[in-house]
Amino acid sequence: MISMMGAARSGKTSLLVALFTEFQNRQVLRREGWSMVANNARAQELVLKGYQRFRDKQFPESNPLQYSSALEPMRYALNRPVNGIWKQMKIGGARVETIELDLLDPSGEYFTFPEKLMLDNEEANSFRKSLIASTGLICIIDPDRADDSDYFELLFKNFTQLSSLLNPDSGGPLDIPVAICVAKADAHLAAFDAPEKFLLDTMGVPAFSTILTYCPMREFFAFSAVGRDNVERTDTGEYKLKGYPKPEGVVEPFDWLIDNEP
Amino acid sequence: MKRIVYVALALAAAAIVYFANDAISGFLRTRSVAGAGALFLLLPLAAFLTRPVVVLAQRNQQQRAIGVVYALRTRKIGFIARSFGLWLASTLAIVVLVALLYREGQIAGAAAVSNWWYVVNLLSLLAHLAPGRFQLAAGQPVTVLVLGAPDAGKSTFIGVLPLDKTNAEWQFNAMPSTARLTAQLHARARGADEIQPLGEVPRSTLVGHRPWAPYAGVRPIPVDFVELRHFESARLPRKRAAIAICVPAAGGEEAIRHELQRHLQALRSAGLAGDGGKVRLPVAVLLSKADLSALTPGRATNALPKRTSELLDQNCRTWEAFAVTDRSGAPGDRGTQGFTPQGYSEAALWLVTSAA
Repeated sequence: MISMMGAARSGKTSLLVALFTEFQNRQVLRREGWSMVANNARAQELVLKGYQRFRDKQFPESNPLQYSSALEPMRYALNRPVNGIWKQMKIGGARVETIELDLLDPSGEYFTFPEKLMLDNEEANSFRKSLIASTGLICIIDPDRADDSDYFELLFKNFTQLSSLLNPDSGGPLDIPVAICVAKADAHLAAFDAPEKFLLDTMGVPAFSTILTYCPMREFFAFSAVGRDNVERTDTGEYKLKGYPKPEGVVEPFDWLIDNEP
Repeated sequence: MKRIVYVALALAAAAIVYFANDAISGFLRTRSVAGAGALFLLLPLAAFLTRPVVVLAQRNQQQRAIGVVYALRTRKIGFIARSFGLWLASTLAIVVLVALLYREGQIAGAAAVSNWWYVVNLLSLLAHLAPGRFQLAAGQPVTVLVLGAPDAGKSTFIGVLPLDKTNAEWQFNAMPSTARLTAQLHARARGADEIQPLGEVPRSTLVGHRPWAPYAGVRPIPVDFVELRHFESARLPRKRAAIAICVPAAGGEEAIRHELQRHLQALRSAGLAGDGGKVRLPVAVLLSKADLSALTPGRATNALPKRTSELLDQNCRTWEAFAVTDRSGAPGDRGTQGFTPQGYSEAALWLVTSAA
């Protein structure tokens, strides 16, 4: 199971909808054999509403859900053709690898206030259960964050919270692979070429060294949910799409996490 | 999987004996009877005792550990008793088989069986000694009482300790309570307000990656840092505890001595002194902001003036002094370069090992 973490409006929902769009739309499918299925009504609702928003040249809302229960995790199944000649030749072996993807905190509230994760309520209990079951983590870094809190403070608190949850006896480095993803890379093209260097320059040494300390199994990625040169600013100051989304780099983090699953 | 490995080892041993039976017999003949006998008995015992157990290294990972080491560190004596039982039974079976073959005149067969027994146990022992990476349950917590005047660096000591990477072998990992303090310290370095009281005891975990850790495992030790403001309101631990007294290094000899005197008196009044009037718990003097003085970060016991050392000798059973610095970037840096703490982990490690 893969979990996603990121601040409010960092692009978690957009990444998910872009991934869904990428897989659903056969014309732009670049990876044959990949598919993504929404496993429950809440997950279905999120991507369908996001898909409609993309169609209307608007960004998906982070929490558009109206009728489904907030406690039900938004769960997706990612299917990928098996890699490796031996696995493919194995008689009776599965031809497709499936991994569950849970979107736990679409509003980013728990990322901003990680201590909420340890509260004794139904939502926090459900999140903790999903995180403990995770075999991979996607950490989304938004280079255009709106809030003014420092990257170090956010990341240090979040990674410490997570490490004490996954390894309560000793804390320290996470024992799962972590894909560090620069979001909105269409506005920061340098991130596509060298995401690691881009993050070091953007976040500063303390936050970057936090990633190095807590994520011994890591890889850096950059993605754009909508594609290059596809966003314009309206007169009211809002951002909207110029055309249909052309997602870039959205599959690679998942691909890497599935390959490096413990 | 384990069974397949042992079958493979047994077959490999059989192949070795098939091709090198005479060489093995020749080697054993050059040893005394007692030596060969001891080898015959002890090699299987070592192989049985070191047989691997699969333990949870971390949440998602299972790792192999050397059975006897794991049993001793987790006090599971049943494993050792079972190993002795297996050893006794198998050795008896082999001895009976060899004796029967010998009685039937099958000298070569008896030699081959006993040689195979040597080789299979030697191969098993070598296979059992492969390194692993496993973690034991956390040890008993250690409490460090942190004393000092306001702005003497008490919170800095607790908060930046997990960021001190100068000691690669020992690492203090922050727990969420400490991370909140660290985040506040970082925000303060960027110009935010003073540190807000946490309302909880900051905890870090000491993890030692010693050279023998792949064989003996890693046991984390939780360390609670209690910032002491009022002795009366605190429940002071008497065991598995140590004391850190923070004093600014740049304060001057007289000021440092006066500050230490004040705190040592308070410790004695709080009942932490033994019969001779000396504080029983180990005491570390942390000379903070060492970058503003001529001190080099690290152990600074010998750098203390004679009168200060005498004061500590008279009042403490065990003590050491450490120069520490957090060096939170150049002036105006506003935290972009972060903290580069030095001396903290050395001081904290001494405190924890002395207390434990």
